Amino acid sequence: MTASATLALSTKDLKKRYGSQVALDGLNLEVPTGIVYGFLGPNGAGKTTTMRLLTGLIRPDQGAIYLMGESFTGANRQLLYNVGALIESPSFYPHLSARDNLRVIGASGKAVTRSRVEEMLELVGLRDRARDKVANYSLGMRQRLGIAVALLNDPALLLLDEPANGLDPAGIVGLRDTLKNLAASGKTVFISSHILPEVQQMADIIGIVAAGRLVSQGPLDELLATQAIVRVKVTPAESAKALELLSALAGDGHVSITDAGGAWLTVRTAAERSTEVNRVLAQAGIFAAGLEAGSDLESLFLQLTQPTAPEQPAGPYAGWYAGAAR
Amino acid sequence: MTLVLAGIRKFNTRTATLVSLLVAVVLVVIEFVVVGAAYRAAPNDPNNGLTKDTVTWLLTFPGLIDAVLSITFGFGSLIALIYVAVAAGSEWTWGTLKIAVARGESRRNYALATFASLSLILGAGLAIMFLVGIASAVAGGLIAGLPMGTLDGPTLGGALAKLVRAWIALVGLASVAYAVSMIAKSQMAGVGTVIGLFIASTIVTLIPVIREIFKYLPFSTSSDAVGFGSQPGTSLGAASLDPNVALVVTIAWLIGLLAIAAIATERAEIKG
Repeated sequence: MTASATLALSTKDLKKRYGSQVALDGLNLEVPTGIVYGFLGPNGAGKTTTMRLLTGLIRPDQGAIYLMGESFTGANRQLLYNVGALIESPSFYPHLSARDNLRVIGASGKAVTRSRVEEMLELVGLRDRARDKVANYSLGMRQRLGIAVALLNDPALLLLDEPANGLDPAGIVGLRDTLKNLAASGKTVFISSHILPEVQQMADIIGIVAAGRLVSQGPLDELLATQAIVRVKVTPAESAKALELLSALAGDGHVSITDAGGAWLTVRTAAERSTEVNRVLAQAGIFAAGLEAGSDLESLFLQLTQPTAPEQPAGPYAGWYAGAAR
Repeated sequence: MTLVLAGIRKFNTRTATLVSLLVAVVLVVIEFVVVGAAYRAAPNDPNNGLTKDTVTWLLTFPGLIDAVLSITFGFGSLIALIYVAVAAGSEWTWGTLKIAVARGESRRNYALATFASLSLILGAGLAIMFLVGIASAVAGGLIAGLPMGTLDGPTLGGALAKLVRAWIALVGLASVAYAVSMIAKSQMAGVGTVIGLFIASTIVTLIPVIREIFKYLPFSTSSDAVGFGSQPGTSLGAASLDPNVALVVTIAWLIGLLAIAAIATERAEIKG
């Protein structure tokens, strides 16, 4: 069974449980060839489970995975010869040098030449430290080495879990350029990340997963355009009246109170309508203490992964609690 | 073969490998030198149990070959069990198995190749321990003031054959540790279990009914398979099973335990 040849990666109704815990509940991904795909989701949404399934570390309870158009069942593990992966924290033999780690790791799966090992050390900027034991490496250096491992096979599909984790600013810029260049050369890059601005700068397409399901997927620009918002801050005493006025402006169900104090209202409407929002409130004698307009990825992410605002405790941990609840 | 060589590269530079070998070698050296020194200090003292016959068997040719093999195997087997359990468990805890699988490597091949690498490391370690043991026994004999004895061709040939059997037996025993660690996916679980089994193996021999069953289990068959010569007139080193039968049973256990390790790796969900 095959999937569309233009898709480097796709999943169909992918399900996975750990005991009674549902990790994935019918995930349908479609990742075209030659792009950078940002895979986003809150903690526990199923991102790492997806990565493990895509690399055959665990098996799905139900559903199908297609890699480069071919059904991946685990029995045809050779499909992974064309996949490079960095899953969770990079793993190495701490007593070996970076060079020896790449050589030992390169002995598994698709054969890797010594010159390719040197090429990768050069690419990730570890050539000068290639003889040092990995046990003495910093988090960022380990991450660089992890990226070198992922690229070792010159894969057509790259699966990276939080690739910028621990990298310094220069490393992040270098990573971004490398991944964009790889996509430009026809390879496909699938990035799972929490660093939303980073993904926003790199990704052509994003998929947002929440509670094991894909809640949104598509070209970044289109998603941001459809999810544009205007946020306005009023006093808590005026929030009910403001909600009524803005609902009349934007339509029922397009306005919500998005913080526990009731002071911030989110209006789902084009950013250009922010002046209109301000004018409607001002005409009713409600003067905005704050006004934000935009279509940033963070707002989109929060809207899609937090359907209802949870009750929050007061105090310094209120914000953290909200994040944890998501 | 590439995986086996890569396995040797990753194991032979590991501190645990060098420390394990050093500990085993030191124990063997101490054993023979102390016996030689104790005998010299008090020859035929009934309180230390070192009669001239015993010391001659331990420290002079041809008896010392069996004595060295027996003591080398005795110390080496416990250290090898712990070492293999740690090495196998670290593939899970370090996440290096995860990388190999994600690169499309066969889990079964990886598990078997890793064990093959460990087996070759154990073989090298055993050979080093044996040679150091021979040298230590000779030194112990000189300290004790005993003549070296004679080492003829057939004795040397027999020694090499027994060394090969000892290696197979050691690998058979190590497969217990390997299987436990691969099933448990953990260094600590593997080490704890094999130490427990090792201690239990010495206790159960006190109970006759269990001893009859136990003689077919790896801890017993592996030592019987070497075919250690026993000291004349004593039960020291005496086997429960015929060496050839024990060797066949040991190899059967080895194959079975490796199959279990491979199947466990094949079916495992790899996380972390």
